[in-house]
Amino acid sequence: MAIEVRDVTFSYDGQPIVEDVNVTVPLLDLAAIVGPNGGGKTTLLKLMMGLLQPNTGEVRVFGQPPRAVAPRIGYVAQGFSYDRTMPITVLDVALMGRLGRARGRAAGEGKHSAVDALERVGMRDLADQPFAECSAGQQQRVLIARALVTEPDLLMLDEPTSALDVTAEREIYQLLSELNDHTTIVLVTHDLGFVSGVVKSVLCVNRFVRRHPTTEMGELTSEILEDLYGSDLRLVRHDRNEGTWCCRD
Amino acid sequence: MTEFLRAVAEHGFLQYALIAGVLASIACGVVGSYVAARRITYIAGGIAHSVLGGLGAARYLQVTQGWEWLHPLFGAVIAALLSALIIGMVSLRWRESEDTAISAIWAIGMAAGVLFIARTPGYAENLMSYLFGNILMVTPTSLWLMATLDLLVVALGLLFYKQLVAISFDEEFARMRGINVEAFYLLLLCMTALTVVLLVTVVGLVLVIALLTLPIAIAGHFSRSLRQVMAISAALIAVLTVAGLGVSYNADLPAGATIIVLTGALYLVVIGAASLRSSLRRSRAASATVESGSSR
Repeated sequence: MAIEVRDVTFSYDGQPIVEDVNVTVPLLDLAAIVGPNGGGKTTLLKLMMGLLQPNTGEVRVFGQPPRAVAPRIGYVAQGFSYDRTMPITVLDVALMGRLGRARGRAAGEGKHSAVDALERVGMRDLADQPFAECSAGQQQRVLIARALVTEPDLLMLDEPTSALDVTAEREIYQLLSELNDHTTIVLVTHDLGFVSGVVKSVLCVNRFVRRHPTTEMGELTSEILEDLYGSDLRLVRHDRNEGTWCCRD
Repeated sequence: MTEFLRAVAEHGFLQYALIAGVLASIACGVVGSYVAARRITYIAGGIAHSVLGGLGAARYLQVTQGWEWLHPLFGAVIAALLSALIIGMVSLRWRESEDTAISAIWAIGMAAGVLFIARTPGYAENLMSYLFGNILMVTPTSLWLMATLDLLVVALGLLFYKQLVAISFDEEFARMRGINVEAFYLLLLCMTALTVVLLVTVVGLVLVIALLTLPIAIAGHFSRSLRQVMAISAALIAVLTVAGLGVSYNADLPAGATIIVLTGALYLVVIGAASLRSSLRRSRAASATVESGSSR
């Protein structure tokens, strides 16, 4: 198992955010965490990485406490967790992925892997540009590149495509799909429809958490949406590619 | 200007003042860049004002107990480090109480300083030089102390560049990469405290905050990395300090205040020019769109 979450409860200011969470993410899974705003998606992701400590229960990543395996986890935070105004180049942001490694001859190698990662997200040409002058979408790609530079066994992404247009979004999911051959991936998203083609399981979070492997279900069903939003919703099917589920209240 | 240069060649106190100014500039450029990036300017302000308590206490003991070795700068170093650690601990444990802690340290430090100075026999002229600086009073002893602090702060700032940049840019990511975020945050606060002490000698504790922020903001307009901000702002502060000294010597004005006014004026010019340039660029871009639209 890549991630095991056992009996985890986490509350903030006495307010439970997630409760009685029992969920596992198998190795080489590509799991999407979905749910309504304020439902605890980011909280669950941070609990899995050890950035938040559960009030009760425990989390294991690769069989160990998450902090012990932190170097094996690549993390792409949601847009607003970093300083957007700091003078720093795109390449230097990507190079941060080399932090915590042994020094020495690694320096040149590090630059090579950073340039490589920027290439994969289509940002190589802008390597010397100030990060602050990049568009929100470009910044997000750079942050993904930075996570790739860490050469993670587990990649955690918090709404990685929220600032991207449709084409860029598809490219990122294509990239994630390729990485998934040797990397377990967990991502928070609110656009379930778009990821439905590539994800292997869906973690529904609305204070409680349920996992739905997409292979068993064949396709995403209204069951998931009921989990998330209760029964008082209407399903709308968009005919974009194979079909996309949306929900409205 | 030639008159000032001749005076520098003649008077030791002017030479000491220039050396002190340049020493403080280097630390100020390096640490000020981190202070701006990590957004702890208000903390720096709090530490700066609390330093009066340490200066006052050390001076009081020096005079009343006859402890000649207790240079007020030692008191300043202790007060600054203590304030930095208290504020740092509070902000790490109880984030929401950070502002209260800073305000308390800020005001209590000053109050303690005023009380000590009131009880110190002799003239209270020290108070003014603590508040607004008296770079012309720098002695060889304090110069050595300043050089030591400067070397320490700059060495730490350059040695831990990657880590300090990482915690300033994105704390969570730094944590995931195994960086001890809390320890480096406290280290940065202590470096800020020592830099504040250096600057207090030059411009006084009330004016410290201007040198710690304005040159950094100016340098930010011309930089692509924090390293460049450090180099440019340090050079800028050195030039401003020397120029301020020259002007104040010629016009017989207080040096600290002159340096700050020069810094403020340069800041306004640069910011004004930058916003003018960007609005010009925007209107040019707008008219270009209109043209290309009409030609179609």
